[in-house]
Amino acid sequence: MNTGGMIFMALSWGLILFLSAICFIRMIKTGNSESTGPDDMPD
Amino acid sequence: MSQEREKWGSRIGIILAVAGSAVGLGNFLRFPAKATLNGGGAFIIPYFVAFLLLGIPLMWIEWTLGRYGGKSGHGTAPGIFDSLSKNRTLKYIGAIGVLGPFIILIYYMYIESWTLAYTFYSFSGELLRTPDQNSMKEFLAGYQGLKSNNYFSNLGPAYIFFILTFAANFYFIYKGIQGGIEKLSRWGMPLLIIIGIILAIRVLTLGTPDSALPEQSINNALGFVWNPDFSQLLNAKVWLEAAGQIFFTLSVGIGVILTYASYLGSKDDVVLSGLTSSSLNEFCEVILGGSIVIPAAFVFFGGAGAIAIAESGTFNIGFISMPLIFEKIPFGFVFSGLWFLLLFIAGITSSVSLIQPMIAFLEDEFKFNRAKSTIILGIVAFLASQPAILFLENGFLDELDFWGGTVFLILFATVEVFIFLFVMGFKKGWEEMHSGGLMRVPRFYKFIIRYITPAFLLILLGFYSYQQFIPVIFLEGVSEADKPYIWGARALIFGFLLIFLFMIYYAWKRNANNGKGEVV
Repeated sequence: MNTGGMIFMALSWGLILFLSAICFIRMIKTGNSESTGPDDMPD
Repeated sequence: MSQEREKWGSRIGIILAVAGSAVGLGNFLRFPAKATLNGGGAFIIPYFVAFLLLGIPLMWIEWTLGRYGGKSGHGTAPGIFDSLSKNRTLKYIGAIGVLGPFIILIYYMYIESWTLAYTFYSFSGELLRTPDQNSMKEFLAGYQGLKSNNYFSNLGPAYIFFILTFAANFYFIYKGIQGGIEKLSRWGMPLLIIIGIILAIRVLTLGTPDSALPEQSINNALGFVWNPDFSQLLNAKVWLEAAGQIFFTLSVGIGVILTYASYLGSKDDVVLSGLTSSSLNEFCEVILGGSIVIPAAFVFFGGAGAIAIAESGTFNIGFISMPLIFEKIPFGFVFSGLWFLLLFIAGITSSVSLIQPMIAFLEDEFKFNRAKSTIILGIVAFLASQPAILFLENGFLDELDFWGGTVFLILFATVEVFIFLFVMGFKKGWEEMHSGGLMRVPRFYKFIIRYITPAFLLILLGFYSYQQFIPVIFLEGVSEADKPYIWGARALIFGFLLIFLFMIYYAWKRNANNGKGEVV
């Protein structure tokens, strides 16, 4: 694998892992992982 | 009397269910082949551009429309579209969003059953006793009933595995959203990811299996997949191939996300949930899918062999090349079994999502209960699956795939975007999208959703019309003997379209008479 290949692989993997991590961390930080149903959340 | 609609038990449940619907055979077979044939690492540039400009917006639009429909008790496109406008024709246009997944379903479960069978034949050791490529092709042809040979004398085994797969699918559907689909996804998706990681690690630690061929190392294999060929970026076809891959991998435009999102609460988040399910799909596709098939093929068959495999099509990669590769690895039967188990899990989490729209249609618009809907749809789907099984060699299945898996997808996605922009109205849609949102969509997406995504879709529609639709519709390259079967498949699709249109007409008329709906 040449340098370009390494860069593209690292960037692609990094971007996807970063995006996944951000999404899951944000979900965990919001606390309630249970579905709230229509009337349980304030506006 | 209208019954209470079901709800997802947890946020992670619907995220895994949507990701399960999106992660299918294409993640592990189609993506690596497309990337290899279209510029290697450079392919990832148009791929990510399409992900940001086409995939993510479509995903958010479908989640938003689905949750909106759920508020008024509609989980499929006819009801959702109708609830947005007084225009009486919109609900009939929505028929594509129920017909599409049903058409895919009636052949997809058969393909899924092959993966279950190959899991069994791998672990039993029978599959890896086939010594070469021709024997592996014979094994597959015998199993599919295309010929009687040393391996199989009839369709019996294929039928048994089809019935097992069919029963498993309808069992999970019968158990409902929380007890069936959500439970399947909560167990299935982590298992799929674990198996994918095991297989990827096995491939990435292959080193140089044949010391006489030092160039066939795993390092060179990764270079084969990832070394960028920037000249390919000047080729418009590469950009459209990348857009097509994003489109198909995220399961947008089928109608299943509409239905899944309709079981959300009215204030449940759709923005972060949609993005999370998409990122999970990308993890399975780029990181796992890109690390298994083509690198393994390169290590054992060299660059020319890997290209030949990538060009040989999805089924050949999955069912012929991969078992041959596993034959060359110690304890290959275990890895082969895990490979097909991975494909089976990817398949079943997708196929249950294809069943659910029709179930939701029967429950929401005809007020059938879950058991009645499951039995009726089970009987119809079983009967409708038979031609795809019996006339496989005559192109019946391919024709269903062309209409259900390509034409209806792109058409329906285009319809959804225009409904979101011009029927719901962008302003209302944007507000609806953010209702209950755990994150805000970046403001530049206002411009992307209004202008770029529809333009991208229309270009994609034009590209597919030019490249695929016209030649296939006019039966170019189809033998005279197969033409009756192709027309038979079209008659089946057209027949179901008429039935769905009539069902919509009848349901709305009945509900209007009962004072529960609008006039037809």
